[in-house]
Amino acid sequence: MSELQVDEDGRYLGGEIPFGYSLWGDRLVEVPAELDAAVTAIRMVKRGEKYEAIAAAVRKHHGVELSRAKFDALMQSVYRRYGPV
Amino acid sequence: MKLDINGESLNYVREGSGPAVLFIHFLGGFSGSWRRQFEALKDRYTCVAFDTRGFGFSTYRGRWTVETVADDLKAGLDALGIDRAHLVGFSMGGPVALTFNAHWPQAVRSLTLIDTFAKNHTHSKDRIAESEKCLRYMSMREYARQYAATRLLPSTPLAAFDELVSSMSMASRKAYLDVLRGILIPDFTGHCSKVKVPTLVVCGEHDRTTPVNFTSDLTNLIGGAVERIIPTGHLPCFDDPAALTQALAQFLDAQPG
Repeated sequence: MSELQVDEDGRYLGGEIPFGYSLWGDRLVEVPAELDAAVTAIRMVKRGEKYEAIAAAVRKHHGVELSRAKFDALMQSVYRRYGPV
Repeated sequence: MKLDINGESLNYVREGSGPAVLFIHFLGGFSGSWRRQFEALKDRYTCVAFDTRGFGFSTYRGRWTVETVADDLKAGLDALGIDRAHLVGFSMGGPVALTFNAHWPQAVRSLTLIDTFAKNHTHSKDRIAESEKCLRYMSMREYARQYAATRLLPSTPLAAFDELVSSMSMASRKAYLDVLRGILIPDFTGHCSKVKVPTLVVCGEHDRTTPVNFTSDLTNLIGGAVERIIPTGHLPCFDDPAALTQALAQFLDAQPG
């Protein structure tokens, strides 16, 4: 899937929907359980945990499936925004 | 308390008595980010912190540049009748403090530069572009939660996580992005040679945003600066506020009255 594209007003133009969001019309809207899972995933990466353990934890604690592709995309975005975790 | 300065309404807090200390917060912080340092120092210092334009309870009608914010702070001190102060600049506050000192060296007693830089060496354009994109659809709160997850140490209490998120959520998105552009691209190293006052450079040993090599560059550029490494990440006021306060108090208490 290609990289997310949004216009200046946040309207979805194409590309991969980020983990934590779903498409409603042309808007990305929050999926709270996924956003909680994203925070858990980032904190676990910070503790040095690997994808398999992270996916299991967010499934158990948030009832959310975090695919490897979504995980990688999340962490790439985080890295670009904030630098090394 | 509020002061009308340069077209903005700037919130500030002033507590204590004694030599003045002006605290300049990090990107997404506000005056309240310094509350633990105020508690520890207000018995012997006049502690002053502003919410810089676009942050905390201050307005954002104009534009954010390091120059305009330094000017806001000087005007703020003038309005409060403070002619000299110890400056404490944290991350974003570092370039502001260096700029303030370059323009008004007579108003500066000492500098404390915490987890900051004079020139940001890495991935600045990526960081700005990705943040611009994300903040088109992401709330400041979610942006802050993911930021806090990356920047706070795993050992940092969840209460501190919530406090950081709450603080960042108060920020104007536009101001946040303007600060990224205003501090990550320009080079402030020219201001370092203008520092003629005692200077303390504080760095968290686990800081991944402005790692020790950034702050060591800063220390080397400022004649006579002393570097202190503490066991925190980029945000010592959340990771270990006591360690930050101790380093700061030790330095300030050693300065002539």
